Amino acid sequence: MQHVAGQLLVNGLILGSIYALISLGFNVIYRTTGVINFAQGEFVMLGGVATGWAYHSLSLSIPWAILIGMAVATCAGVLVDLLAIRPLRAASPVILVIITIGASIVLQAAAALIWGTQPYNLPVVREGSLPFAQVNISYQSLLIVAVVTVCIVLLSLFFRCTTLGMAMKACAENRDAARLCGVHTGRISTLTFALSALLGGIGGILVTPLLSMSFDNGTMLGLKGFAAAILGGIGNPVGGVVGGLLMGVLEQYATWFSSVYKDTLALAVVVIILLLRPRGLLTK
Amino acid sequence: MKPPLPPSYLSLYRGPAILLVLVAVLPLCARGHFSYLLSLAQLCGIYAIIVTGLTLLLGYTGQVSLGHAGFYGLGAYAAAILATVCHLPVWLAILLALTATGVCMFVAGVSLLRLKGHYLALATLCTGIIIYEVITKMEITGGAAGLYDLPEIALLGQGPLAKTYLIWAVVILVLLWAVHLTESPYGRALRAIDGDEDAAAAMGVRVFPLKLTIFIVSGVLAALAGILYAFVYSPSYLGPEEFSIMHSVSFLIMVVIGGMGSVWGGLAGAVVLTGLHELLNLLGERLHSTDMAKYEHLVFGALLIVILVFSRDGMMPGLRRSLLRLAGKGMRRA
Amino acid sequence: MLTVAHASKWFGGLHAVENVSFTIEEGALAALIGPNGAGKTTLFNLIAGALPLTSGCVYLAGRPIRNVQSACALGIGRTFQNVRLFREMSVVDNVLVGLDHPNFWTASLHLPGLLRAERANLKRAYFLLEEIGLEALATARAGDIPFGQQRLLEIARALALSPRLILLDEPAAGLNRTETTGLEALIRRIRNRGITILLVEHDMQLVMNLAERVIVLDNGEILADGPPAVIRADPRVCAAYLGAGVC
Repeated sequence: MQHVAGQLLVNGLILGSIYALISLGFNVIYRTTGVINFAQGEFVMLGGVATGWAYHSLSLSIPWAILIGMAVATCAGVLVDLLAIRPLRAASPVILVIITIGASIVLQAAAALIWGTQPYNLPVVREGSLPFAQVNISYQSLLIVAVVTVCIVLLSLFFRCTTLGMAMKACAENRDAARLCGVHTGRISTLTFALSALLGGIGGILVTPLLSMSFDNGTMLGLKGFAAAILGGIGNPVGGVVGGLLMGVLEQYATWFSSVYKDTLALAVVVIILLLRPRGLLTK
Repeated sequence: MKPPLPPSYLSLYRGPAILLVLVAVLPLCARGHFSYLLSLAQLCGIYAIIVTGLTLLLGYTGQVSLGHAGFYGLGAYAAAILATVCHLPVWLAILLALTATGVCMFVAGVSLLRLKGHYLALATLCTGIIIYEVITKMEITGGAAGLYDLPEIALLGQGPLAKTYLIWAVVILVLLWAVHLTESPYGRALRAIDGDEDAAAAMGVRVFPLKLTIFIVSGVLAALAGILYAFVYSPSYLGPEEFSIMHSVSFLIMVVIGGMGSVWGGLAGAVVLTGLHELLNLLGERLHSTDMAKYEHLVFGALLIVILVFSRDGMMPGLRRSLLRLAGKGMRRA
Repeated sequence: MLTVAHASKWFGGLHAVENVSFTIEEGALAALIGPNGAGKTTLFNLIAGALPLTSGCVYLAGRPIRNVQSACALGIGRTFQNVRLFREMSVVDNVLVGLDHPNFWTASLHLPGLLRAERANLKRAYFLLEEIGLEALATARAGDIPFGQQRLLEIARALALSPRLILLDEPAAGLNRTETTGLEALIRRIRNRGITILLVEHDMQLVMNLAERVIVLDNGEILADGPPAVIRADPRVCAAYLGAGVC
C-alpha cells in the first residue's frame, strides 16, 4: 500500500540531496572567492551529458564514462575561472554576476553544439527498490544519498584538516592577508572552481539515471541549488544542505497541486521567502 | 574665480534632436527591403526603451535585474488580456497594465533593494522565469500558442512607416526624459550612489528612495515597451517566445555593450545587438544551418564575457579609452 | 552640542566601544586619540549614525541620532579614514552632491527652479573649493588628483552640508609636513566659522597644536578627558599610548 505523502517526502529528500550538493558548490565558491557563480548549474549538466555521451556514443563502460563526465565538468570549471573570473579580480560583484551568466550561456550553447539537444540517459545502479514503511526507495536513490553524504563528509574534512582546505578558508576570510602569508590566491581560485565544478558534475551524474539530462536542464538545476543556498543563508554550507532538502521536498509536494506548474510554484516560494526573509530561513 | 555657469540645458536637446532627424529621414531611405528593415527598426526601438531603463538601474544604481524580459512580458500580456478578454478600452488597459507593473516593482523593490545585489539578481531571475512559465502555460494567455488579433494602435496612421515613427517617437521621448534626469542633481546623486553608497548616504543622498524609484521606473519602461510590442509592432499575434530568459540576458548585453553609464550607449547597444542578431539570422539562412540559434547564444555569451574582461564599464567607454590612448591623448577626462 | 551618553557597541563578543560618555560644547575643537584598535573609528561611526548602537544614545543639540539620514539632517558632516570620494566624478561634482536636494519630478521635467538652484549651488561649491584651495582642479576627475588634495576635497565635501559638527577621521594620515601645516590652517579656519570639530588623529603635534580638549580612548573605554596639557602629563595616557618622547 503506497503512502503518497510519504513517497513524495522520500522523493523530495532524494532530489533535495542533489540540490544540496549543488548548493555546496555555490557555497564553496562564494566563501572562498566571494563570487556568486551563476554557471553552477551548467557544471551539473555537463557532468550528466558528458557521461551519457561517453556511455552511449563512445560505448565506454560506466566507470570510464563517469570519469569522463567528471573530467569534463572539472575542466569547464577551470576554464570559467581562468577566462572569466580571474581577469576580473577586482571588479564589483555586479560585474561578476553578469560574467558568470555569460559563462553559463556559453557553456549551455557549447554543450548543445557538441553533444546535441537530445536528452541523455544513464542506467540506474541496480533495478528495483527497497520497500520501507509504506514507501519505495529505489537503489539509485540510496546511491545518491550515500554519495552526497560522503561528499559532504569529505568536504568538511578537507576544509578542516588539509593545508589546502585551510588555505581556501583563509582566502575566504581575507584575501590580502592570505596572500601575505604566501597563499597563492590565483591558484586557490582555480582550485575552488575545479572543486565546485566536480561537485556539480557528480550531482549531474547521480541524477541523470533518474531524470535524464539535456543541454538546457542546467539552468533550472543551478537556480534551485542557488535558491537552496540562499534559503539556508548564503555562505552557510550546512544551511545550504538543509535548504537543498527543503527545495526538493517543496518541489515534490508542488506536484501534488499541479505537475505542470511544479517548477513555477517552487520558484514562487523562493521569491516569497526572499521578499519576507531574505537572510535565509536558518539565520537569526 | 568666477564659477562657470551650469551647462545650458538646451544642449540636452541636441542628442534627441539629432535622433529625431535620423528617425525621420532614415526609414524613407530604406527602399527595396522596405518593410523588413522597418520592422527591424521597430523592434530595435522597443528594445531601446527597455535598455534605457536597465541602463539607469544597472549603470547608475548598480543593481542587476535578470528578469527584465518578464516585466516586458507582463506589460504586453496584461494590457493584451485586459483589452481582449476583459474588453476594456485600450487606453484603460494600458494604464492598468503600467500601474500593475509599477505596484509589483514597488513591492519587490521595498524588500530586495536593501540587500546585497545577488538577492535582487536571484529574485528577478526567478520572477522572470515565473512570468515566462505562467505565460506559456495559462489558457487565458493562450499558452504557447499565444494571443491573436489584438487591437492595433495606429496613432500616426496605418502601415509600417507610421508604426516605425510612432515607436521611435516614444523612444525619443523616453531618451529625452532620461537625459534630463541624468544631467541633473538627481543624476549626480545616482552616480554618487554608484560610486560609494555609504559616502553618498553620509552626504545626505537618500539612497534607498532613489534606488527604489529607478527600479520601479525601469520596470514600468519595460512594461511600456511590451505594450508597444503587443499593440503596435505585432497586434496580430502575441506569443511567449519574445519574453524568455535569453531575452533578459540580451538586454543586459545591450547595456554592457553601450557602456553602463550612458543612456545613449544603451541605445547604441540596442542597435548593435539587434543588428548582430539579424546578421546571424541571415548567415544561418545562407549556410542552411539549423544550429544558428545555438551559435548565436554562444556568440552573445562570449561577447558578454569578452567585453567585460576588456573593459569593466562596458564596450563603448572601453573603445573610447583605447582610441584616445592610440591618439596619444592619455586617459585624463576633463 | 554633542552628547554621547553611555554609548556601547558590541560586535558579538568584541566590546569595541564600552560605556563611553562625554559632551562637547558648541564651537569646540576636540580630538579623540588612542592606540590602534581602541575603538575611535567605531565611535565615529556611531556618532555619524553609520552603525547602530548596542546601548546608550548619541544626541546632537538634544536630538537623538538614529541613522545616517538623521545625522545628516541634524547637521553632521564627516570624512572617512580611507578616503572615500566619488572617484569617477569631478572634484566640483563631489562637492555638489552635498549641496543638492534632488527631486525626481523637478529633475525629470527640468522645472524652472532647477536652473536657479543649480547656479546657486555651483557658486557655493566654487566658494568652498576656493577656501580649500582646489578651485583650479574643479573639473578634474576626483580619483586622479594627488592624495593630499583628495583628503582636502573630502573635507570640502563635508563642509558642503553646512554642518554644525564635523567629524574628521585621521585627516592628516598620509600627508607630508607642508600639507599637514596647510591642513592645520584649514581646520582653524573651519573652527573660526563656529563649526564644532571632533577629530581622530595619530599626529600628536597636530593634536596638541589644535585641540582645546583631548579625549583618550583605550580598549573601547575613555581613559582620560581634558585639555592637552593635562593629557600630556597623565601617566596612564603616557603608558598606554603617547610614548616617552611626548611625555
